[in-house]
Amino acid sequence: MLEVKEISKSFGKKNALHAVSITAQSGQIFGLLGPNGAGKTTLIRIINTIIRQDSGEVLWNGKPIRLKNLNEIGYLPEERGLYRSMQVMDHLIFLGRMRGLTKYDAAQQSKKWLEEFEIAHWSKNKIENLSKGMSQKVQFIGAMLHDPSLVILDEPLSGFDPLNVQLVIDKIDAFKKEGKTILLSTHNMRSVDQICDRIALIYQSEKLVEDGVWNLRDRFKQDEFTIRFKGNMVALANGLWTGFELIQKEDLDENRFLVRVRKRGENSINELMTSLMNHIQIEAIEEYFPDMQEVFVQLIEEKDAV
Amino acid sequence: MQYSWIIAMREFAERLRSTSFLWMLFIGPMVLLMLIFLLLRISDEGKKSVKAIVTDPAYFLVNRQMIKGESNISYDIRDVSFEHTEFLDNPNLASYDVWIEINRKVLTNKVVKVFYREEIGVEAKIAMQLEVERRLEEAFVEDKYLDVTLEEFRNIKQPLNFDYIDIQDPGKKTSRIEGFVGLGFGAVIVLFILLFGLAVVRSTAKDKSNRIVEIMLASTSSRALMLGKIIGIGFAALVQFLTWVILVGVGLYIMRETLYPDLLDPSNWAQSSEEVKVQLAQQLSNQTQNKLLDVLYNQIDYTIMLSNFVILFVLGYLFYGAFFSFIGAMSNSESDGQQFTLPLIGLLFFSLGVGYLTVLKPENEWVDIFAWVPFTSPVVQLVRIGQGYYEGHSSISYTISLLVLLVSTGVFLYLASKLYQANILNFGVRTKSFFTKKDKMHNAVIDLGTNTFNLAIGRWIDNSLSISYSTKEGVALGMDGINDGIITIEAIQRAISCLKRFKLLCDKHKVSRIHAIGTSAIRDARNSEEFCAEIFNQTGIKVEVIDGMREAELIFKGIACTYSFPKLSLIMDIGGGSTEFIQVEGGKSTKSMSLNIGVSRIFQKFQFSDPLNQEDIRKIEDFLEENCTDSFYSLNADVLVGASGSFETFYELVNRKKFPDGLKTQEVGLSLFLEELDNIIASTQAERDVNSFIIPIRKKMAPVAAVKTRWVIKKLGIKEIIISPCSLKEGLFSELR
Repeated sequence: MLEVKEISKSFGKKNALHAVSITAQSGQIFGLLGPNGAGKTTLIRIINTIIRQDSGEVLWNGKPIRLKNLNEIGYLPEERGLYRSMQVMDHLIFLGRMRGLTKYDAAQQSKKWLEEFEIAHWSKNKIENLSKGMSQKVQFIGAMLHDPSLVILDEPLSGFDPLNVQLVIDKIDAFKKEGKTILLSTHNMRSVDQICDRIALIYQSEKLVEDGVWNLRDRFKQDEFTIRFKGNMVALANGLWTGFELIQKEDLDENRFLVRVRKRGENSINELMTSLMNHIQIEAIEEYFPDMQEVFVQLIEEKDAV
Repeated sequence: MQYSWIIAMREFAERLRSTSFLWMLFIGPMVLLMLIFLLLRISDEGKKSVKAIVTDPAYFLVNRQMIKGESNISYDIRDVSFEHTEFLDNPNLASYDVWIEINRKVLTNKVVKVFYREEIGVEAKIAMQLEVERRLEEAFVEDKYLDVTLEEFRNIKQPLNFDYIDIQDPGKKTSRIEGFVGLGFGAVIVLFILLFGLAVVRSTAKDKSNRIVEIMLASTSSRALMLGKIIGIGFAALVQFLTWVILVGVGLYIMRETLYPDLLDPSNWAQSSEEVKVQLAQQLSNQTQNKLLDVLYNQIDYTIMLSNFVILFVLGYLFYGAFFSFIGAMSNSESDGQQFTLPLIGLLFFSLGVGYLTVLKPENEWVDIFAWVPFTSPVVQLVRIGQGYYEGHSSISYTISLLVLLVSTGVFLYLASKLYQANILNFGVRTKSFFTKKDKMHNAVIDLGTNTFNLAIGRWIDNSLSISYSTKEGVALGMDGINDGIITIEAIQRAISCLKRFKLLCDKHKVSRIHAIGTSAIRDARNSEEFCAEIFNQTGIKVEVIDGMREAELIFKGIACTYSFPKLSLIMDIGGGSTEFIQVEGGKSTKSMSLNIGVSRIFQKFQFSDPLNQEDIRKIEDFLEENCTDSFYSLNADVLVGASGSFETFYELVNRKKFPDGLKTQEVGLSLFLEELDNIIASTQAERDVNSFIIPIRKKMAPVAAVKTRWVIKKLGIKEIIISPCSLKEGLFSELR
């Protein structure tokens, strides 16, 4: 378990983090969100002992994190780099050894990961000859081949094509099942929706909120429902009465639509369904929970309003 | 230390793989050998025809016939002795080039002193040496100084040592040239520290620029990283040095064997026994061919020189390496790093200068001081060792000097690691502020737009941009020429006149540097080069003409200085020549484009009525439809962020007040904004002329800008309007931070 307690950090007069605390459990994917310059990277660097906090502490399994704990951490920074003149395999062995593996173990692990990511045939190639996506894979492997129990990923999906995005997401999911603690910083809200269990939002150096993803989505829901139906929009309009208003409409095909409606007053979903059933053919209906992008924006707007 | 070692081995391997390292491994020794060869040839130009006086009070050689052979040496043997001042001053002896002093001591000390007025050639020396030695052998045996036969004597004799002494400077003998050899070794230390110190700077800066440094620091401490780099590169330096030593050694051996092959040809020594031939061959090959060869092959104690070289190089390299790695940590690129190494290069050359002083004045009190100063001690100490200084002085001074160097190296490595840690993750900030104090200096940025020229003077204070002065002037650079791709002569004159005023303002505000950026009208003009040259000639201002994408990038950076883009946004910057659109998602620019749909282009393309009628509006919208590419229609945003210029005018018209001072963005209600756009479109020129919220240059074209903005809002389904006072100028300032 990773516990960050009351961490503060300033650079000169600029306050980068102010009393930020988070707790990420084992077997959990913890999203660290926030706009650019909020302090996410500073926090990640403090956890990695790259920079030292002014106050507060970082605990890993209950004990203050130290240099010797670095071999338990797998870190993929947002701005990545590799030694371009090195061969892929040599580079991975080097990174593995820097994380405490023996040369033999590093070579074995590298081989296994390269095969898993289907780039084993590139192992003798120089990094400078790899495509960007391929380099990203090597970087991801380099961060993980020592089998860390705390995985810190800063924008892990950037630079990957959709197929490889899924590959990385699957790997992150597999880490979770293995009971690793995963800290993920990203701007990609879709990935937050898809894979995070819990998030903390850092804004202007402070933590605005820390909660489960579904708790937050539930907190910001606005009694809206999405309905997929067959029929036409006039029939829908006839079916809706003043208790619901149409928010959004999407044409799926000629006579199939996906709409979002918002409840007014005390009407229930059952009353809405009863009313609509006589006018349109309902294919699916569910309560609409805002995605994390909307939650993110609303949280920041709330803060700005204050 | 384990990780330092892994890092060191990686650095070492990288150096070994580098082509330049491999080339230097072999080219370096070749060049060195060529230089030595050249020096040998030059120093071999000594006197070849020699007139020698031999003083022989012991009567060893008197009455003996000296055989001249093929050599050009004449001997005058006398049974006298004199002081060397007499040889120097007596006019009767002035015709002799050489004085060979032989006395009874030669039987025991085997030394023959040869005083010369000017350097003697190698061939002459050898002939003279062989002849004197041969005659003495005969004398020793035939005159029964020894009770043995000549053959027996030749079997047991030790070769004589010929001590060549400059009569002008009999006391110093070879100390100065040996000092120069020490200086040569010192120069090699300086060369290696410089070459490999720069490699440390490059390697550190490269790690920073390609960002791998963050991965490295997540694996180990910054100190271990720094030490690993210094040690790994130092290993490469040692390998290179040892290779040089071996190759130069082999080269010198080959040179000795081939340069004067006749020296070692025993057939020249017919009267000598085989043993003597061997002895003479050894002696001659080792000694006295010329002064440099003598020093090179005989007088340098390579064991002492090389072992001390390695000790002083390692300590000197680690000492300077601490500084080099600190510079690397502060640099953002390899080239950035190199310029900051100048002070260190200066210090290294200074240490060479002090080394030279040590050669000339070994007892100078400053030399004693510099022998202890860690910046200079490696070179000074090597010179002293070369001079044999410690044979006559206590070596405690040397030990203390090594200790001072060792302790300073430790202290500076520790300090450098602290600074290294503080700077290694500062990408793009520290170097500039630390060295040039750019954050304290005023910069001026001039945006040479198609309609207006904007000047902003400001500086960064504590990471916040402070604009101390800004102004704009309507220049109408694109008037009458923009659609023909030309800047008219009248427009050039207006531009120069405006820039001269801006220049005066910059001088008044003590601006350290003016950055002038040319956009659409200039980049599209056929005569842009002439225009920029004319501006430079008349004002001294150098205009950088940028392309549309760079313009969009700077606009984004400018607005991002004060706005964090919480929602999916589209920046729009209405220019006279072009209009830039930048889509911003999650705070990052995801799409950008620069389209040639500037208001000045549209205004000059059509004839409009006053106020605009429906036909005019349709013409403008049709033009926009035609000139907006498919990628424009793929833009997706909820918020339109208007960048300065026309948008500030729109804000003032909506709110009936001046746009607030400072760089903060302002929000405007969409419906009010659209309503105001309609008002502007419907306004007459006369109405706009009396409206104080519209600046003069926009009074003509404001309706066109309004039609265009309204069209974009409708086309892209914009829901919110934000107006930023920032744009290209602030973007450029952000890069000067």
